[in-house]
Amino acid sequence: MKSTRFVSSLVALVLVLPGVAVAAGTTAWVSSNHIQVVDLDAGKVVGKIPLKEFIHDMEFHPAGHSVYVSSSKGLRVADASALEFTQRVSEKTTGALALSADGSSLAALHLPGRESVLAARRAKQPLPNGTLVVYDTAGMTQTSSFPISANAFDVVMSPNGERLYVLVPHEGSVYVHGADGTVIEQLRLADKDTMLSKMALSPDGSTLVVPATNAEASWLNEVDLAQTRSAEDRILRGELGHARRISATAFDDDGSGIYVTAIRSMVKFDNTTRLPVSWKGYPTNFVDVAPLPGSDRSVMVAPTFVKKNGGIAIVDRNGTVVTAVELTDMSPFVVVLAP
Amino acid sequence: MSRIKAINVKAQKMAEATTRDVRGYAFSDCCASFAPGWEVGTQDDSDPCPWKSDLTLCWNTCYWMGQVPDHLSYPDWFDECGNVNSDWRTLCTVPDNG
Repeated sequence: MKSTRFVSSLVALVLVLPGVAVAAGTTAWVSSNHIQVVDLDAGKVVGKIPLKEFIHDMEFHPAGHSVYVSSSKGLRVADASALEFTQRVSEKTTGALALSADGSSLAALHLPGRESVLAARRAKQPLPNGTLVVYDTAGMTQTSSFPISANAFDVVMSPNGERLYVLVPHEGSVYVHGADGTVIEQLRLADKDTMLSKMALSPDGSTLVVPATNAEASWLNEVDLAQTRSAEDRILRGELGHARRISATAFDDDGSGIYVTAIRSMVKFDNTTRLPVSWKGYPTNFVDVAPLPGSDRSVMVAPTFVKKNGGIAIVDRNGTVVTAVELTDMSPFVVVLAP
Repeated sequence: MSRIKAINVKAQKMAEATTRDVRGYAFSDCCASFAPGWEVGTQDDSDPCPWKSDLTLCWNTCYWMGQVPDHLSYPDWFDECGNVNSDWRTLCTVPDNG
């Protein structure tokens, strides 16, 4: 009996040690300045990857073997089974990431160096450019690299990897680039008094959603990329019915719905009718959302969930919390799901 | 306030003022800001977005040097903060640019 208890304790200990392989089951990877891996079926943290660098974004390879992690000090590749970083691709501060549908291309926003930014500010000169780099994920070699605004905040990639959409909130614009960096188009979506937030691209690449908030309202700019609508209807505005700042947007895996998390609320739109399917208020802020593939449920993260910790919630199609998991000593800001 | 005596016209006006002392406003393309320094909404409602949840968004998208450093000048600012509830003290000091 004693040995059984010892074994149980050991198993429990092993499950939360860094670098220990993850058990089978749907897992969510959540991050602040480190990563915690949550088994959604068991509702438990099953692994941690320490880092001590603020993580801006993560992307899971569709084959499930690797996770690409951008942080204040670089771009890394993590082995999804071994739960450890296997490669540091770049040492530059890296922001948003985007993957092609087959996982063969990864786009990364590398921000300009701190010293050059400070020098430009002291000299009252324009900020130096950042760089958008496209990597071949087979060997993490660069396939293209081109300058972008220092204030670029988000990037999404078309499913075939041939288009890159770069959000520059300070200019109220999304720049459409070819894979070689050629600027194909500038989509002007907002005035100076409007804040644009993280984008979402429909799985078929036909619709780009760019959230916006100003003092009076929050809405989604829905851009027709497939040219199925007339030119004057190319960008439609879907109102959220509030003026709360939007944190995250995500499409269902089949493109049928769009989830939008904003201050203390979540709205789900039907992508066909463009009407809200559900609107749910919460006592906390969910700052990122990831729909569960093949399900009408989604996973959301909140930096302040309970008194001392953040947490994640699995919500159903109406936004009702089905399961909640408190994360020990963590304020999660980003969530990705293992395929 | 009752222990402080107003000795000129301006001070008397301030003492007699009935307007609420919490005001919210927004930068043009940035996060909401707060006067006198705590979280309020545009309608003076309190705490619409707890700073602990909103901090990285401000840091990432704004140049708000008075209250939150920007991520271009201070990319490491959040590195020691895994849990804003318990590690917030590490965020209180913004290094001098020199």
